[in-house]
Amino acid sequence: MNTTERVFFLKNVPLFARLSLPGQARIAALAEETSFRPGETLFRQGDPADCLYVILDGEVAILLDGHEINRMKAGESFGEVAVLNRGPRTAGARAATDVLALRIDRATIADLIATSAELRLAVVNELTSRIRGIRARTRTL
Amino acid sequence: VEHIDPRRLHVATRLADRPLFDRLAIETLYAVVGAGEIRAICSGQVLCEQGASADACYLVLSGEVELAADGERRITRTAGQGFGELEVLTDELRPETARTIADTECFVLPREAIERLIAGDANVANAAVAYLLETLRTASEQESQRRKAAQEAVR
Repeated sequence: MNTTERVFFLKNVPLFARLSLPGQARIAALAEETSFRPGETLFRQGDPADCLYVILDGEVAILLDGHEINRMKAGESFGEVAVLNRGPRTAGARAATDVLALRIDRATIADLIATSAELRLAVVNELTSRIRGIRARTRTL
Repeated sequence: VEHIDPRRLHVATRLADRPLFDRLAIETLYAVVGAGEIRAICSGQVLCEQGASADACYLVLSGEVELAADGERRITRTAGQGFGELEVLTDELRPETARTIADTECFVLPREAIERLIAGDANVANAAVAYLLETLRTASEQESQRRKAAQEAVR
């Protein structure tokens, strides 16, 4: 996928959809394309976090204490919480199928958050969405 | 030199003790207070109903507010305490009905004002992100504990 194709893809990723075109282009240029085989670990719960992922193709299982709690699909991002927190990964991630993903490092995200009101709002929306999801899951336990 | 409104400054210093705002500088808090309003409310008035959309968060300046769920009192809020910040940010329904149980003065910050502040002020946005990250961490821990307890119960 070339940079232009990445920009068009990022326009449909909720975290980056409202980012300005230069912001999307910057992410597209700096992101690294990476692939995983089914069952391969992207990161483990407790690992230090240095990047977030956007799935281009395939599915990724999100694991909490070894149990799958969520399934991420193409067009979704994950791993941003630990990146923002500068803390360890709060959950693990494992490829459920062949996965093609964009890897975006912490420094790129930090620079964009510092300069983009749209991304700050998107981050707030993403975090609130995660909180609602966790609360909904917890109520069913 | 801009005139400093002592009343507004007082509310700003109170706001500095609330988790959503406690990372903000006093000048930013002063601007936040300017986006809301101070309301005097008689005892016995309902401020918001359980199950309703969360359209504002509240900081009690004087008096007392009771928070009740399903008709049962859970807690009261007095001067310097607040409620509603999380529901406003997460767009969840009110978990409790809030009713004044004394003549009360509140600072009310509408959802639209918070959204405007987050969009327009990097400091407010960063404070909101930090607050939400902490909330997310707590919620994740609760989910993990509940999950473990449920697994233990099955065993």
